[in-house]
Amino acid sequence: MSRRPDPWLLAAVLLPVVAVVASLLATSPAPAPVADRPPEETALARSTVVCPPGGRDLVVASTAGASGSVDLRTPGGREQLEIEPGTATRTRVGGGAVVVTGLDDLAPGLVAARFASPLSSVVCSEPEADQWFTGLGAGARHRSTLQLVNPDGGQAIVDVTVLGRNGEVEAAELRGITVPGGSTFVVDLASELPRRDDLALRVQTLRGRVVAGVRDSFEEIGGDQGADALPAQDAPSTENLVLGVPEGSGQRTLVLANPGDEEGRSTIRLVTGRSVFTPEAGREVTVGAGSVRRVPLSRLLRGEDRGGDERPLGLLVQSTVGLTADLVSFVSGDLVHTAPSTPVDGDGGTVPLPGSGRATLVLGGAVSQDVVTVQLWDADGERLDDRREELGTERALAVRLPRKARLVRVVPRDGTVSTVVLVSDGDRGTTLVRPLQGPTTGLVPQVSPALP
Amino acid sequence: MPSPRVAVVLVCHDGARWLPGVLEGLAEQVRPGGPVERVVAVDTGSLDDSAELVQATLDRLAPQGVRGEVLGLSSTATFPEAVAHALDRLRDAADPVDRVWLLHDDSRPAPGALDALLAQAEERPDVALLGPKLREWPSLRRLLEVGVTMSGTGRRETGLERGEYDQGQHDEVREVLAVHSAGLLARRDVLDELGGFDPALPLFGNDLDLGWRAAAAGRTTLVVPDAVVFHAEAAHRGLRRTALTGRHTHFQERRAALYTLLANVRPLAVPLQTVRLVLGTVLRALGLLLVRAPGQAADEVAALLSVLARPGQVAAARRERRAVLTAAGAEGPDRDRVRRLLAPWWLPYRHGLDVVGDLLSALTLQASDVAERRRAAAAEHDPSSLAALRLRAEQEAAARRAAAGDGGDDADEVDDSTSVLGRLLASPVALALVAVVVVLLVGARAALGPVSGGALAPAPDDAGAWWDLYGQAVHAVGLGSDVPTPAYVLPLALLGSLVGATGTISLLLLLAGPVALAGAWRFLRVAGRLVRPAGAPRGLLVGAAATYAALPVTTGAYGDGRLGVVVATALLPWLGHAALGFADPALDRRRRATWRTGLLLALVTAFAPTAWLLAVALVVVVLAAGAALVGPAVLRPGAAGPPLLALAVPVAVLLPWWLPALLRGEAGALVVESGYQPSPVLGAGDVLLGRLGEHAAPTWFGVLLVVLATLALLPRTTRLPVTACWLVVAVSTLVALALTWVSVPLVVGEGPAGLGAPLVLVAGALVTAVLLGGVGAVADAPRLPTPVRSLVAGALAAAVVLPVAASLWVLVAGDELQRQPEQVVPAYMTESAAGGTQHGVLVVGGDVADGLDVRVVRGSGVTVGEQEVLALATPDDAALATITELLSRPTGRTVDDIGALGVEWVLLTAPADPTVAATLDATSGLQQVSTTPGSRGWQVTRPLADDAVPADGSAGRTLLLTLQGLALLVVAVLCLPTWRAADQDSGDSGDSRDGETDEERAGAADAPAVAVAGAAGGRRRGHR
Repeated sequence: MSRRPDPWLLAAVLLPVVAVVASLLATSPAPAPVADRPPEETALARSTVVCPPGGRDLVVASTAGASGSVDLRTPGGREQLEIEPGTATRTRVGGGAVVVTGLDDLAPGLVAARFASPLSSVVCSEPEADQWFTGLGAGARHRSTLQLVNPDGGQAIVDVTVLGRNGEVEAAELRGITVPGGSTFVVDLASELPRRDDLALRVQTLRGRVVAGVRDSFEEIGGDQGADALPAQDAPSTENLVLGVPEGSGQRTLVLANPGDEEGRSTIRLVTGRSVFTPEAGREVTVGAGSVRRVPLSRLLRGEDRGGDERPLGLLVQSTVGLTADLVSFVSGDLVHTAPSTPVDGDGGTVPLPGSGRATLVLGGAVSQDVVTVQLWDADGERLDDRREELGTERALAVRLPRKARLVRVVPRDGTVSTVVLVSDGDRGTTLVRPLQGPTTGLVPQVSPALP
Repeated sequence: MPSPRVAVVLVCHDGARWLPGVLEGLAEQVRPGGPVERVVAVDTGSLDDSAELVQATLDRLAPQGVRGEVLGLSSTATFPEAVAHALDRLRDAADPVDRVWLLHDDSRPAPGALDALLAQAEERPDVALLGPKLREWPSLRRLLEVGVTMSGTGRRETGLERGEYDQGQHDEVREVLAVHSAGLLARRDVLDELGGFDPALPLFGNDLDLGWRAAAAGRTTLVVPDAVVFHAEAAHRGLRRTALTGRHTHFQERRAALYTLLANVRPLAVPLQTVRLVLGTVLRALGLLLVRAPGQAADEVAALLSVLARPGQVAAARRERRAVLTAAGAEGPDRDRVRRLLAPWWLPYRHGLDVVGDLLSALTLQASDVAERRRAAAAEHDPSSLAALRLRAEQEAAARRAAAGDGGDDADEVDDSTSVLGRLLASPVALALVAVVVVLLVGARAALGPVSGGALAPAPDDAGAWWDLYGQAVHAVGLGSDVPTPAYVLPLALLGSLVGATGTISLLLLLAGPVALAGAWRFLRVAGRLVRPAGAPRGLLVGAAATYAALPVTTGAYGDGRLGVVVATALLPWLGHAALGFADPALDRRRRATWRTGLLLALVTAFAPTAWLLAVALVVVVLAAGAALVGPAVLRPGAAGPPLLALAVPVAVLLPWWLPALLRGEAGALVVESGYQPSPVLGAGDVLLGRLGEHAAPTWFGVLLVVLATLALLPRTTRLPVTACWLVVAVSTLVALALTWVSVPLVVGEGPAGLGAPLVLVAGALVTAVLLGGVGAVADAPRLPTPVRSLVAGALAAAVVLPVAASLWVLVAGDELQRQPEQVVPAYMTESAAGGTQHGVLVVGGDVADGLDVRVVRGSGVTVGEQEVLALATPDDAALATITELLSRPTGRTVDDIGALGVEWVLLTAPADPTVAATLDATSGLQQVSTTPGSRGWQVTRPLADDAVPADGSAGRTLLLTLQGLALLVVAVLCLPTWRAADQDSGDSGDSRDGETDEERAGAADAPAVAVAGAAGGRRRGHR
């Protein structure tokens, strides 16, 4: 005789179990993690390259292989410039700032540079928000002027920080500089804060877009003199590769700036065609926090110059803290500034040449064994023979370029290679031209609505 | 002093039922040589043998020296006409008497009444009118009137409570405005001077009018309580219908009162009084409609109209009164005397409050006795059962107690002398409850003043914003949204119109705890009594109610700012209490429970949308389980109909919310938790442990509750109800499980469904289970062996931890509520945005590398009620494309398009992406504006469109709102108790218990009424 189980007892046992199991399973779906939404790359529709005031020779080229006309905006007005693929189109402009705008097909790969005589070069670039200039002067003999160019309609606001030998220099006038739209603001350091030591500047754009350039001039009575543009450096680094030491005798000075809070110790090594080595003189240089240090190198470089492969092509400054560097050289009565070289990646870097003087391409800073293709064009846009150069690590390479060459494009195969072109025109001056990598694509961010 | 000579005037009309008694009483007043000289009876066309009865008595009295006669008038003769006729006869006599004593044919004088009146008249010869104390006939002990006066609304004020027993408390002689015409002893010359009763008042109210006129003429009216007359109030109670009264005595009475007021009040006050009467009538008529007494409401309005439609009559009456005064030689009416004798001005308001109080107590008393009624019904069904015997024993004990208490003179005083405070302090339960309320209020102190944070948006500036939001089908928020307005916006708007928008939110958050406490107390008390006749021990009740009341904080809903869950928690026990009405034996109470449950369920669903689905699941499961276990009888319409109908009520009442949501494919709006989206995310076991967010009580609290509720299954006595609670828990968790499979698409991404309603119901059911198990344990404990008994004691002690821990958590729990919402948008942009929908602020966050998030802020930002509308809107792809273009490659035309979207400001929140900032800096048409450091702002200097995001009602929405309004009105009216004026009681059953319910008499088939005015044992103070 079986007893039917009491349904209430059954329920009393089952229901709590059901409830517990159901509650354990009842977990809300976890909100989907906010996936990163990387921006899309699209064809660049508009590219603006700004040339700070400088020489009157403007060279514009498009590496994307398009032809058409680009828009030139100068203080004098607007004009159009026809450019052909592969051709470094030259034109003469006034001394003021020039804004080069390429649209649609001409936007990708737009590069421009301007040259002055005696030879000095200014590389035209896109606006950057944060840049360093090292080795300026604000005295009677060594004068630097900072040029801030605002290519847009609205006003821009710039903060300039000045470092000197003994730390940061108090310069209230250089904070919150307002650059009206479409104009150039020039700061003459010698009149703003006259000093005798070497200076380093940090130019930060708070609002708007500004292209900064520095014109530096030396005038020693009975001594070295000359003028050149001072190239910018993006950020301090613990390894600064300064490629492009000019040949010849003359004063060579390395200026180091330490913007950080800690004192830094740096070692200056020489980069030759064969190796990178620390000279026997074993230079260890200490740079105080927030200050600028001048390091005379003439004797050092002369002493180590054994010619040929052993000629120092560049300097490698390795330090314990991030430093900015600039090599000031006097060559045949002209001033040459060499800033740390910019690496060029597989998209290739383009160097327009002034058309006079002898150009030497200096390559270095390869992380691994690499093969670099050097494409050359002549004045008519005809392609010259490509050069393939093998570049090893821990050394530099100097390649003399044919005189016919007017446009050079350096394309490393594997990694990045630091590149610079040294152009010397005898008595008419020497200058360094850095490669340009015009942006080829634009970024369109992914926009999505937000929950309230 | 010459002895007074009195003529008795007796007016009869079909009074044969009472006349024998009246005539007997009259005979007792007559003695040879006594004051009564003449008797004039006026018979107004009686169809019965009234005239013969009177004549017979007069014949019997003739030998005692009383000259009597019976005059006949037509049946349409009014009372004033009858009296005037009698007075004419008296005047015509050669030697007229001094005083006239009026009697009705249903008023029997007590022995010595006339003598008492005359004794007073001798003492004060100047007094014109004297009246006796009227007691009820046939009960003989209850007071009817000891003088009357009139209040500002024309109501006849006796100053007594209904059914007040005469214990000598009104026994002093005093001046009054008027006395009832039954037993009125008047000086004949004064009566002539005043012109007798006003013929315009045929039956009711003429005594008040006479008294008022007498007072205005400077005459004194005294009430002499030593003289007692028993009055059957035949006409008033509708026991006697005459051609004069018709069937609407209320109409006649009211008309008489209005006429008296307007005819006698001072001239300057007439317009004011008219306005007041109109407003008062409208108010009273509405109130009567609401309590389903449309006949009386119609009577009120008809009376007002009948008086106002004939201003000539009132004017003529006023002229007459002036003429009388002039003829009497007075300069003007004796205003001071009248004012002194009229009722105090505050009396009508006091009556209004009393009515409201009675209504509320009727509402609340209704369902609390469902347990009693079930037992009474069961006892009726089987009188020999044990339960019936027990019930009878209880009733007898109660009756004995009442009888013992009634005998002493101090019975009335005992309750009153102990003040509320005294009783409070003497009761530990009351103290504990007060302590819990204080703890709850202190715990919710963050809600004082403007409050926002967590999932709670700030309140709008005023309730008008909520009304606007509710009326719109398309909303002017963000990039435009056509998500239907959440249902809770309507109750918020209604409350907000009373206390302001900020006040509403604060009130809801502050009072949620105390309201939950009150509801839980009521529900658990009834639940306890359903389980055991004596109910649950009060200590357990307090603990359980306190644990439940702390739920908004212990679940973390309050800390997270989930207003919807907090309000739903407060309303749930009231819903449960109403739902208990489904267990009532009487069909009509079940019907009433249907409407109340339905309305409360609609309200709970408005605040916690998944509640309705939960209710459907519960009803289905309970009916199925009932059918399986008890039999198909459970499914018959009388039993299963009300719960199913209650489920249909929210469907009708919430129509403007769910119908557009379903039609537009935004059904997600029906399941998300109210507040900022996404809805709270629950982990494993959180539904059972009652943890909604990160501010919930520690896990062990929920575990303890579950463990105790499981142990509550052990006591055999209460196993059935505790299992029922666990059934509710199981169904709720299963519904919660089903809801976790639902993913609601939001404007970006997806969100979970809201599990607040199942979670709260689970917690409530667990608390109920623990209570019932405790009751069972206490009941079973005497029969258990000692070691088990100590275990039970231990478990009960552990149960005490629950309310204590809950109260502590209420005090120490953190929350995300703060006074000022975090401001991302600068103040000047918000101010500009408040100026119109074309001044929207486009807020951009994130960076280019990881993606940008955009939203458009309009008005003063997101407020309560707009959160779901914004979060569930379908994204506007065209607008997003324009914004993407603005942030990446803008041209002049892009900025024009942005202006056309109704956006005036662009704000990059800190840290602002420099690329985007640079892009916007370079765009013409955008002007940089200053913002807080780290963020960047621009102003669009192109034309702005104000119709970019329209806010519209629509015909469809208006129709739905109208339907909702009608449904609400119908359900609300059906929810209220019926009102039957207690003075319509049948006067025959004089020994009826004082009020309570009529259903014993009317039978269960009728809608049971609760006599509102003063019944159910309420004691009130009349005015003195």
